[in-house]
Amino acid sequence: MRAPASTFSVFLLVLSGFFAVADQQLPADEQRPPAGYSGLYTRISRAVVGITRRDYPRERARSIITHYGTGTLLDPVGLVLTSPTVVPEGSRNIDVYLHGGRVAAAMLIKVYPEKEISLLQLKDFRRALPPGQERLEYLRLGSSGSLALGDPVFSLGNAFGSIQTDDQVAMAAGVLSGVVELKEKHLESTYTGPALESTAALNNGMDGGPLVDSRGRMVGLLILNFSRQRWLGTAVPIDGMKRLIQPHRSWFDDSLEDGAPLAGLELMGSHEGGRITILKVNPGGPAAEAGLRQGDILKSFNDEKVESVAGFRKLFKDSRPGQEVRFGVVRDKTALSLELTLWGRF
Amino acid sequence: MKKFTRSKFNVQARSSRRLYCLLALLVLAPCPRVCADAASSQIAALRELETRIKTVVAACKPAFVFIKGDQGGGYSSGSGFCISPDGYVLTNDHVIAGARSVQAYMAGGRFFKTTVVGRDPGGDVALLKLQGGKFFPFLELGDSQALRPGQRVLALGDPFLTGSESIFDPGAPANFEPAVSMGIVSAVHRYSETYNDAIQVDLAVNRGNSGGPLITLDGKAVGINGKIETRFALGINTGVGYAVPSNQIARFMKYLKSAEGGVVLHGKIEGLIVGERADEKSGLPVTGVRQGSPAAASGFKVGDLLGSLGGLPVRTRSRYMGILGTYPAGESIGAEVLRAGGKLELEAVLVAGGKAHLGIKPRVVSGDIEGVGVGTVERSTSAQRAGIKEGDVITMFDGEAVASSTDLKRLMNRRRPGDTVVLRISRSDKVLELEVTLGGK
Amino acid sequence: MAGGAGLPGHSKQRLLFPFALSLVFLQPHGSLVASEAGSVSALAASLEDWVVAIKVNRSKDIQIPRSQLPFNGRGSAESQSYYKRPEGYVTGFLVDRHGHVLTSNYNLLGTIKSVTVRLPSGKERAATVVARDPLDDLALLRLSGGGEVATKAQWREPPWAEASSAAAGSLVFALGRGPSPERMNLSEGIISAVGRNSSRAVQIDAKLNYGNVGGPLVDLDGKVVGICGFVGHVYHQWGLNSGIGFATTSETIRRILPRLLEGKDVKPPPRPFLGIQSEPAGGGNDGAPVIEVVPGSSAASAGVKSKDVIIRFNGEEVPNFTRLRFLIFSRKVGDEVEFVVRRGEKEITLKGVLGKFPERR
Repeated sequence: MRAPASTFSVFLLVLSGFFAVADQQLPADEQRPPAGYSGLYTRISRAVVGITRRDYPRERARSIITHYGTGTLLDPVGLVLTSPTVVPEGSRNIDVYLHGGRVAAAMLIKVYPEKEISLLQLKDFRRALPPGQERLEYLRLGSSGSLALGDPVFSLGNAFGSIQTDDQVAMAAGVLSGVVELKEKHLESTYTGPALESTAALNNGMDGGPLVDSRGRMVGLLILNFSRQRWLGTAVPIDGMKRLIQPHRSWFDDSLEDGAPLAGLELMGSHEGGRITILKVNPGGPAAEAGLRQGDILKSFNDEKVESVAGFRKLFKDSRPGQEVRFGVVRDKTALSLELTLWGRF
Repeated sequence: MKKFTRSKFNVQARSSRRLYCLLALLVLAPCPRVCADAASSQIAALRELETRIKTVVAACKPAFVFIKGDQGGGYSSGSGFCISPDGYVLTNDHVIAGARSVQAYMAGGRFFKTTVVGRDPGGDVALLKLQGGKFFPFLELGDSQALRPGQRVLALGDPFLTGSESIFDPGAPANFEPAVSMGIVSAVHRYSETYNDAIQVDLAVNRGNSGGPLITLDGKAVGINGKIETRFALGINTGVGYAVPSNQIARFMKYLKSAEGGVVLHGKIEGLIVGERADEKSGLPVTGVRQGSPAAASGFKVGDLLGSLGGLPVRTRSRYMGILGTYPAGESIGAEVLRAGGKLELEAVLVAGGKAHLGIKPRVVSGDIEGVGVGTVERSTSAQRAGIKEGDVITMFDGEAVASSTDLKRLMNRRRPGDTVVLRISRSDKVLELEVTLGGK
Repeated sequence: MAGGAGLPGHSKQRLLFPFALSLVFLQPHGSLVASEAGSVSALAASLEDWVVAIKVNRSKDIQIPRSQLPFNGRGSAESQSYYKRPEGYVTGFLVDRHGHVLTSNYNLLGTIKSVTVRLPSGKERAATVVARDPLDDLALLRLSGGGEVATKAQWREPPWAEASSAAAGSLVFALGRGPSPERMNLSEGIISAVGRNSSRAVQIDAKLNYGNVGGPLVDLDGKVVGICGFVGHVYHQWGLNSGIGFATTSETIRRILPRLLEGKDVKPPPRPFLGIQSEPAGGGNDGAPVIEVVPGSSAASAGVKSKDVIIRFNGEEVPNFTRLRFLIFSRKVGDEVEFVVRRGEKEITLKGVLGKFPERR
């Protein structure tokens, strides 16, 4: 009868171990009693930025702020998500205020009005880096579909100018209060459709900022629209936004599995016989650092000939983060061989 | 074959035992999951929070004070809280400003008259003392510098006077129960005029909450709630409230206690001008130092980069003003500056900012006396404290004759708040010499 | 981790065991479709069957005079619409299987043409107003056309909370069905104070608005502490989502519901009256001094004399007249009360029956 006894004792051991493991799985802020969310704030507030628009560049003496709002850093090298109510099409003189009082200029790269998204890129993210750091802090994306009624959610941002005046990202706490179908447009918001409603305070200047869950992941984009029944803060659910955002983070993708390699460039294949051009080199990524440039024609990868984008992808798929790879390109009729170390999922 | 048969038999025996264990496991598997769930569930965590809140509320409520200021034609209402067993009470200055007398109600409807011990209108704080009782329940002040955004806080107050007035049925008396609300610290060190170093909170505070305590989950008062932003509707909370931090109040306490009903002034580094924002992580630039000023005397020089003030980092002018705003005039403050690549520690004595204020409304003098007639004496001013009365005529100001209010103005302009002057007063047939410590405005 | 095909049966069994174990570990957290046991959403879901959505068709609504609004009602477009009741579903609470629905009286103000109740099943039924209780901001509807909403076997009584359970600091949730009736909405908060509205209501800091007024207020045990009310454009002093909210308690509801079910409006109860004249709090806290005893009042019958000082009332300390008034008002006409007066050096216990407050002319 020894076999069952030992099996049963393993079973008991496992059971008791489960309790221990289960508790360890909870991040600090979900442990009891919840004295608050200061740990959460410390973890994520640096990924939330203030954004201002001015009539003239900041360096000009008479320059004044015409609009202010909030944005979220989505990658380590300065992609910022905000709303067109903060940065509409055609905006200039956009400044991003980061933790510690650093201010960096940004440019608008894309507006998706149907989801009330504006995407910005810091012109030179290195100027925005805190001393001793090589990458910016950014927010992970969560799942708005996984939220349950009553789950704690938080709004973060530039409430009444708290970031550009006091270097303070303001946080408010609430719960997911409901999902509402927004039909009217209020204030300057243009978003209609399903929206997350939360009891976390939303005020002037917080539009464009993130609604985060208790794990610190972004689950919505805060907007100024509201339902006239509830008058609560609303957010565009992140799930419907991911496919629009991801291509701009194409060299950094949250949905990548652990171990997937990143080079930081976008390719474009041509219809005319096998010419593959580098369409975009993500600033600050490994390809950029290696010296690859937009417009280079890709010829080989790790000394193997590349004839199509699909072909490149197949070769690329087998590489690993940290691996040194070689890109053979042609630039201005000159053949170049550039080496870089692949990054991985952060 | 034999071996196989035997092992097959063994396998079967073992496997059926294993199967039973497996079945048991699968049946019981939800059990640890549910148990773990119950243990780690939202509701379980909320229950613990609820117990904590109720404990804190029960402990702090007895120290709560409903404040009523008699304004003559009506009452100004607000909140306050007792901070010592002998009955000192903190509230906002704006709750009691202009009141001729201040009354207080505590738990169980107990009523107390109060005296105004000291006022800090520049920081919107007032210190009162309850009369006619002993051993009052009180709150301890906590450390506001230790507050972190995200931290849970509670507020006690009387929003829309739901506790101290009857709002549903005009005939029904109130039950004098304060209202408690809960939220988090949204941000710290928020700067605005008067609320120089405010704690921003998202809990519900509204008209009537002014003067009430901001409390941490360990039952200490870390601030006085006093101001809110509004959005769609006037006077209704939208999740942004501001509180005066307890560390600022603690610094003012001894001055408030000895103010004899008067005003305590905030300090500034006279003669120092700083830039708007620190460039590139170094320090806030000193852009001007007036010759002969206290700033010059303290050793500041143009070009210095201010790194910290009062031990706290400074990167913007508003933060510079914010830190100073938590200091009373007369205190000294340490400053760390970078000069020519090296660090220097300087110390500045803070003087009262603003213009010197006497507190009288002049009126034309009848008769042969040359001087400035006193029309009305403003409440809680240096003139009132010195004993100047309506009908008096000021004939001399620190040894100089005053013939008109223009003269008086000219002489006052040379003075700073806190200066002591001697005024010669003509009252009926008498001539008095009164010493007046000038207030500020 | 799964055992591969083609392995001898012996090894397969070996692998099944840890495989089953791993299932235990790998069950996903936070799966949403079914609410996780012990979650707030499960708590809300447990109330689903009683929370209904109501559509009110009006020809005219109650208006607030412009002079009462900030800026005389001339603010921005948003702030103007803040004080206008929006269209759409509001919330109610099913109290019996005969189709009686409690809601906020505010939801039924104005000149009503028709009322439709949408049951949790999705079925819509016409309803009529049975009776009102404006003092508690409650009103009772009944689904028209008779019939039951559930059989006797199916029906469960709403989980009303005990009177004693609510206290300042209790965590509570306000549930509603507006504007999207298919899904409930939820606002969280705490009980700010008990004993409001002459001890008929609790005050809460949960955000109340047009979308949840008339709905239940629930505690952590899933019990209904009260029905939320006193919110809406008519209650413009504290507006919406201000953190000032009220819920008439389950205890009050249990008391007045029988009358409402009879179709009778609930009027404010007659004010109780002891019958003394005193001075408002202004002196010390040593009692309520009796200046005059009203002849024929219960104080007179009890033997109170002028210059007595009332120091205790029904076991509670009386520091002053302000407090005494509140204690008297918390009782009802006809209640037997016992109080202690200080007469000279002695303390005398007196008994009386509270009378009715005399009508003012």
